[in-house]
Amino acid sequence: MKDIKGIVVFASLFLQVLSAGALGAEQVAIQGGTILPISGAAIENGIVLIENGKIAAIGRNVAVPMDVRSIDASDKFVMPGLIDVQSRLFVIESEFNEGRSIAPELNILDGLDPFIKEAPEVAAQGVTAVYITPAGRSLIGGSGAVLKLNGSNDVGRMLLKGDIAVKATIGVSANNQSSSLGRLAQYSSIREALLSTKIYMHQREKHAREMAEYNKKRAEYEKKKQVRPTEKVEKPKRPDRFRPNPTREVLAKVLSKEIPLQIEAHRVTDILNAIRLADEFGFTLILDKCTEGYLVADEIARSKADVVLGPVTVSFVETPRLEYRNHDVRNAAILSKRGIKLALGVSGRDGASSKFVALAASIAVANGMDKDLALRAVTLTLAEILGVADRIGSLDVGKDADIVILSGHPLDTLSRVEMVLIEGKTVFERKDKQ
Amino acid sequence: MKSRSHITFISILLTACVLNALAHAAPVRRKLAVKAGRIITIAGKDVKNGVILIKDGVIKAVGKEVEIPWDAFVIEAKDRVVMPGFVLAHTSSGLDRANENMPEVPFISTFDSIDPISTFFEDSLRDGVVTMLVLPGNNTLLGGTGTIVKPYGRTVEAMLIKRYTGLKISLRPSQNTSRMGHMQRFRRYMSDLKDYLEDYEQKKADAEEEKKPFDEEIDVTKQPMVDLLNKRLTAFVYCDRAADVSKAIEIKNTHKLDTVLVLGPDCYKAVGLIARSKLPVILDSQLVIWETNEQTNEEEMKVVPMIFHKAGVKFAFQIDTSQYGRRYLWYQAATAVKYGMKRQEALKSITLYPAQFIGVDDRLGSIEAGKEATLIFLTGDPLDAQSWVDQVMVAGEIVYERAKDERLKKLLEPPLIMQEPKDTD
Repeated sequence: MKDIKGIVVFASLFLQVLSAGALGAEQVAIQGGTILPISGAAIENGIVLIENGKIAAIGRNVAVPMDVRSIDASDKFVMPGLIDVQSRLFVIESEFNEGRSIAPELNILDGLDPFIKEAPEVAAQGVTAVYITPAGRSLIGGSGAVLKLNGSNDVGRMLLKGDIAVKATIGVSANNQSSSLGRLAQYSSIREALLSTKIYMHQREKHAREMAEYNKKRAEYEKKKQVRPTEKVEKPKRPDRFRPNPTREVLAKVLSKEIPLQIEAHRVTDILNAIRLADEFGFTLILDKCTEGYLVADEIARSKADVVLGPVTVSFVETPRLEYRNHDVRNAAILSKRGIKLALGVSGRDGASSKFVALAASIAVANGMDKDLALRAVTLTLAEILGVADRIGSLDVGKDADIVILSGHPLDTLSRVEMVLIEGKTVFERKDKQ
Repeated sequence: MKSRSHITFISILLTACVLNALAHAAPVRRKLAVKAGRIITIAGKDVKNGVILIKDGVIKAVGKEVEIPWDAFVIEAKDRVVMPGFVLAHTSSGLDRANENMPEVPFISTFDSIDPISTFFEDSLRDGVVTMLVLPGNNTLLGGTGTIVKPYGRTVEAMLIKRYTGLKISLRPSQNTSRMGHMQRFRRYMSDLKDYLEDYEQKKADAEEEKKPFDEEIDVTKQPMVDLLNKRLTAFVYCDRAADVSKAIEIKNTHKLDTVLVLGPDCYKAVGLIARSKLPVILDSQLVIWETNEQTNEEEMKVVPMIFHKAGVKFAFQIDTSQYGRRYLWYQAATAVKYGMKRQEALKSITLYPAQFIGVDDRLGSIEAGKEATLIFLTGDPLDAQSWVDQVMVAGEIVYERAKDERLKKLLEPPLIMQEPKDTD
């Protein structure tokens, strides 16, 4: 009897310890320091409460429960995780060159290697998510995806959102030689693909109408047959099957504004051609790279296209390609002053370059961009352009707890990343603290 | 009275003649008893000084105290280790050419390409590999169906155990395509196939409604893929890199396929994913991998079978005939044991498990009553480099004897000493 009592007491104690442990893992409070929520003004000496991987509360007066895991962030900066909008992380090197073609049905998720070694290195610099698209070597190259750097080896678990946008390219030469005719050919190939998609959509609608009509007639026929089985009634003819075309189906989503078309264009003529296409077909346009955008800032502002700008500096780029001939570090500043919705990307030579997100924003600020806008350009505005702002991009109640704690202001290059949390779980913690 | 005894005498003589003739006509002895020094049954514990009783090529009993019938032919193997013949669950050797140039050829079969006089089969028999699934190579997306053969016989028909087993799907992109394009090609094929089958069912329904005969058959070029969907064929999915494993599992889940994973050397990184999927696995022939740790710059040794063994994954070994150290199936198992794998599990990975993966474990892969008497007689322990296969028995028939291995004799002969021509002057 005594033994049993002992066991019961022990078991209940054990259970208590277990449940406390479980709760502790689910609730985290970051206390003290300067909080940069990005969506609003900075909060001094604030508290961020995390519950089940989401932000449960944020502000100066947050009641912190007794048994939470507490992270001391006094004298530090707390901000949402950075995102690289032009990342090549996880991309298998051999997939870099996709044949020139119209292949919007491709999916970047099929070309990723989640086992690469660089991901922790990038996460350690405060980057919690990356947006990856198929490379710009094909005219229409498939859809991109946003992945979290949560240390998983399973693309399914890393995936925040797929089918973000369909990637297209105008005016990027494979052999680094410019040819007006070649650029025209690229532009008209994309236009042709969009036009035939329009025809395809029309045919699809027509078929749907015919099928509806057939079903109605068929029902009438069945009814007549039931009432007078002997009478000869002509059977309605079923319309031919409609074969869905995967290529056209994806572009149909673009034309019906379900997915934006992200067009990589560097030079003035190519940027204008991209805008022309958007005007003609009425899709949502994201201008990618936009190297000479500052020369046609007014046209871009008028088009209401979002811009994913990068590289901020050519030193991120492998070789000084022809497309970067008129590159200007003030590009981001000039475009953002026109009120254009702008995201900044690293657009580096390899996967590991994604760690330079904060540096890219700093360089933009050094060359005239507004500080707040630059920070937004690598967090909230970026998330809005990609359609993932409901999950990441700012510190707001209900969003994922993807948080970076830094020793100083994020745009100060001397600041060090102290800790990185993704959905409340620590993925990086600085070990060599003095 | 006298005539009667005559008749009796003649009849006895006749019976004797007939029996004699019968004995000469049938090389397979109906009843056999193998007296072995050690029997590695795989199914259970090893038996020392045991007997395997065989009738009509099928094992009737195994054990220490098995009574030997008076009419059984006894094979004395007191100094031999007897175990089931090794099974190779995946190979593309012994083929005229392993890969087609076209990416989607599910309708071709290795049956049409197996070369019976290839030395691969001769070597296999010599090394104790008695059953093998020959599948197309890894260069084609939908590579065709496989054939299970024994490495013995002058024609493919004579070698045949089972035709139309397994279909190769390779996730390694062929030239000029990327992984994205490769997967898309597969999805497109499957959606086209679905369309085709829907059309087919519609036609069938229409014919039934109008009471017309319907005799259209499924397109022969699509039939194997239809059989894959009906689970009449197992998909052998080749994963070149660890990243391909999740795609293989996606394919398996989307189309509800019976799947065996054929892994490349890099795939050990995806061991967690593979263990969760509970799929059978065929390991790459490279079992030990050295990798440089980029942080410490130190060389790290990865023992692939141990990584999978610890994760509880069931696997089979395969061989690579072009690599000297990986040519022998027993050596693959010995390598795994050397690095800590349980002996019994390692032996299962070259007998029972591959037999299960290719669907012949009802008759092969272990020594049990009811299974086929396909045995190898070794001079010592199977994992010892100094023991060799002395005899091979396939379904109760001795098909290989080292003493009669002419080619081996030639190889083992002392080299000819060239004599210098004498001066004739």
